[in-house]
Amino acid sequence: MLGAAGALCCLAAGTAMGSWLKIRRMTRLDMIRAAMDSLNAMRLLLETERLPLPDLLENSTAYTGGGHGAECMRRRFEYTAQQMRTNPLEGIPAAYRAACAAHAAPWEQEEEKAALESLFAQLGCGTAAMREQAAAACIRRLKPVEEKARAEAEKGGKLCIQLGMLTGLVAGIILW
Amino acid sequence: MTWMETIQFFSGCMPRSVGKALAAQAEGTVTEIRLRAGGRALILTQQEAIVCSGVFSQQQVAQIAEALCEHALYVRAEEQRQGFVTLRGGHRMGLCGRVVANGQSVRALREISSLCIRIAGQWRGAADAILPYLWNENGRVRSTLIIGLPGMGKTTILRDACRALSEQGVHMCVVDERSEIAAMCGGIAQLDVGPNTDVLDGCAKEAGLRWMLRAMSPEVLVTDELGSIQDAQAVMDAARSGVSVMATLHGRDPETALSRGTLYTLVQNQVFERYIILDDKRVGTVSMICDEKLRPIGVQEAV
Repeated sequence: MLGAAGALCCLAAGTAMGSWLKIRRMTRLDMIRAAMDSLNAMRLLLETERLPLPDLLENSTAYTGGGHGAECMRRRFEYTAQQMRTNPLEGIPAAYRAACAAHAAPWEQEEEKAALESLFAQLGCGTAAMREQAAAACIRRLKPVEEKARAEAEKGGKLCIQLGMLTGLVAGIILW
Repeated sequence: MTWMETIQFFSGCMPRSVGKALAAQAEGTVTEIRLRAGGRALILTQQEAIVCSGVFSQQQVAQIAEALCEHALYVRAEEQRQGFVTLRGGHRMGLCGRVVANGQSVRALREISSLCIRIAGQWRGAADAILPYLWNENGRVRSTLIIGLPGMGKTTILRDACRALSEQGVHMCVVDERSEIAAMCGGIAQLDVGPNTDVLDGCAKEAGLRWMLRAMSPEVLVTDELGSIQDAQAVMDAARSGVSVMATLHGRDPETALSRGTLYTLVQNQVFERYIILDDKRVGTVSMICDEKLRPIGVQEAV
């Protein structure tokens, strides 16, 4: 029906679909890693610097890696800081929710979402030591999530490309 | 920080009713803002007390305190333990709530329930009346201590004296432990302390005075609110090194202030050459000027 060109198109479309799925998983992994890097920096800053919360959030993202996921996390932290400055009475959990709405991440899953939301709920109260503890607890919660996301991105990502290519090939042969 | 910036800052951190009432006040007239859980906000001006609409909950009061501190209340535990924190612009926010105590010492403040915000003012000319008394016959600035009750203008006069001397070319060094003299923000003084002034912000007096002596070769060291014997000792050390010191101290009059060990030690050692006693009823008014032995040498009227 479609001929050789059509079959090749099907193969390319299938491969592209597989790659897209892999990239999505890698982006999620980047985002989780960026969150963990930021939280590690935040812990150090909480111990060594006397920074207001908005400045603390902005400075924490200085050491995150590259990639779309990391960029999204950086923007969320910066937006939260900005929101706290413009609406100081709002509180940090509301500011973070606004940041999540402004910088939505479709690849983000419930596990990391819940860990970060609970961090931002605790970050606005208690002493510096308690806040540092909240960041440490969030890192502990994110660690298994990161390992799972890495496994999914590495193994699952390869599988996605292979499956996409195979699906495209089968569809191409059927529709030739 | 200009008056407009001050009003914008406070309005952004407070409910609309308070913000509106603040914006309606003439420049420099507001002296205090008081908030209380279960009560209404009160704005005190030089002429009247304005009651704002709306009753605050404890959570709201705590949120406002947090917002006024630009979400940095948690890192200012040491200041909180003393009962107040300094806000951007040099304004002082007194706090009340539930104290977590350890014997006689305060460990932390929880459930903040009342705020008393004292608006810092730049009052150019506040120190004009005392300036002639600050120079000695050799053209050197005399070590001077300003004594007065809270809210009577000690810091305002000290700041203005610092500005005026600095404008005359004296190298002033300010140890601003509570950021009330210069109100530093991003390395820039928000209140005018003069063109020839260096400011060490947020540093304890003892360490700060030594630091300035070592690092900045000052002609005059300026610091606020001597409270403890350690403060007095630090000032004595600085004065012995040949540098003039200007400072303030809480007290109604020389007699009551002398009953505190701090002033007694300073007078005994003749650290200060001039004592400026402020009136306990009229803000910014000098009631008496004394010599190094606390003997009156002059009286100045309204500044």
